[in-house]
Amino acid sequence: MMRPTANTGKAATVAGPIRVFAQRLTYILLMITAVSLLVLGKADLVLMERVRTIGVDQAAPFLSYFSQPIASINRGIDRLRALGDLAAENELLRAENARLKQWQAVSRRLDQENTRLRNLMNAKRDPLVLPITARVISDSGGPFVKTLIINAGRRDGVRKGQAVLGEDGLIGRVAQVGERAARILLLTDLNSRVPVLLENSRQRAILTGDNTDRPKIEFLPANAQVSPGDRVVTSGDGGLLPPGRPIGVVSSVTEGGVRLQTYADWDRIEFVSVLRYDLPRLTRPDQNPGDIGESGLGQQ
Amino acid sequence: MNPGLAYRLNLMLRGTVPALLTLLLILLVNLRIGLAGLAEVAPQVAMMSVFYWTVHRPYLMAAPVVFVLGLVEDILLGTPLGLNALALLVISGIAESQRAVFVGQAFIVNWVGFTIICGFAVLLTWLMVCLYYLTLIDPTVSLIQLAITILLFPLFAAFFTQVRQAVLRLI
Repeated sequence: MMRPTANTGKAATVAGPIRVFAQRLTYILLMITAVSLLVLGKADLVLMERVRTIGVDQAAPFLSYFSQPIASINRGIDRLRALGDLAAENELLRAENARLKQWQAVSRRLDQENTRLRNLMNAKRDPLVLPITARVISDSGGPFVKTLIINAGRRDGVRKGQAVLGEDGLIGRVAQVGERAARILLLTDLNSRVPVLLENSRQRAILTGDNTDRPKIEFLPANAQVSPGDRVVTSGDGGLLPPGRPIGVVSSVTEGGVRLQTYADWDRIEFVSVLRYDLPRLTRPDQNPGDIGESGLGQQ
Repeated sequence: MNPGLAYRLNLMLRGTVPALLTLLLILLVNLRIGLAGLAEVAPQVAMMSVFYWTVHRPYLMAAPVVFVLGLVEDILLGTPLGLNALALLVISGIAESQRAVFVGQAFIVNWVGFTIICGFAVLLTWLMVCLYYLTLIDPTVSLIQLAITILLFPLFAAFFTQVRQAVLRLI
């Protein structure tokens, strides 16, 4: 296959060094570009946000297409694993079901009572919350960021800042929204800050992610009563998240800080609910066409 | 005799294999791999691929290609834009300058070289992220990821070699 070409003649002796120089120059320019991108990204430019959003949007169909069989395979493996202890699990579930039925009766009664009392006092209602269910199509993982990509975007009514729930409780918030995909910032991410409430003592605090599986509970009052096992829910402060959604339990209380064990199992989040939470007069229906203000469902 | 259009087209398409293969691997690793905790420490496939192709077919893994692959990874992972681009460029830069050390040598030499270069790139990435967020990030996950990447390198290198011999023997 070796064929004498133009590059072996005199031209090569001149063109060679020039080509090497051009390659070096390209390399250095690209390095500089990468570093400037990092610096620009730190400055939170709108343009950078656009680039990311468009990128994720373009990749979404591919990710969506291929994540489905992988999810099925994982489900199959889970089912095989579960086969072993079916009987024991059945027994457990029966007991739990009985317990839950009692709870259901209690909660029905409480719900009715609550409604009656609210009506008596003419109390303001919390706005209706409608969930959008979406499939997780990409889990970035990695040591530096904790985010997910879901297959619902602006056209489905997903908006930046909305709360995202897994099967067992809050898992994060919508950070970026594309046309058909959105990125979820998980509670465990370094940049996540969520206002929370300790359910028993009613103390307010901020849940701060630090890239570990157990986020920190910060800004508790110095005399706060907190012990492992306390339930932690969203406080609804700031008006972005609906109040009272479960997040997890306090896992450890030490000098270094209070940590939280989330209800969500970070390894198996397959479907999530994005909550369309619309605070009256805080979000404008014309800017939030996907929200309930427009749909008329929230009106009573 | 001038090579025909079909021949040149064939060569061109074959030439895109390393870049496209890397892109595919990046996308695949980004998918949810539900095995407990695996997603968190998925191997750095892009680093392996860029290193391998820079050593064996540098003209098919030119700096602009490496840069774009890094950007794609940044966008998908949600890391600061430019972070992986920089890391991959560092790997390709060092690998390119040390090519003579690796080409035609025993595989173990490649493996050791990759270990050093990849280790350096991961360290650099970690430092950059710590600087970016102005906090000390726990390096444990990074180190586990590095270890997995290094351990899996022979497997991926064997796969790349298969691809190279099947598709790129003459290029």
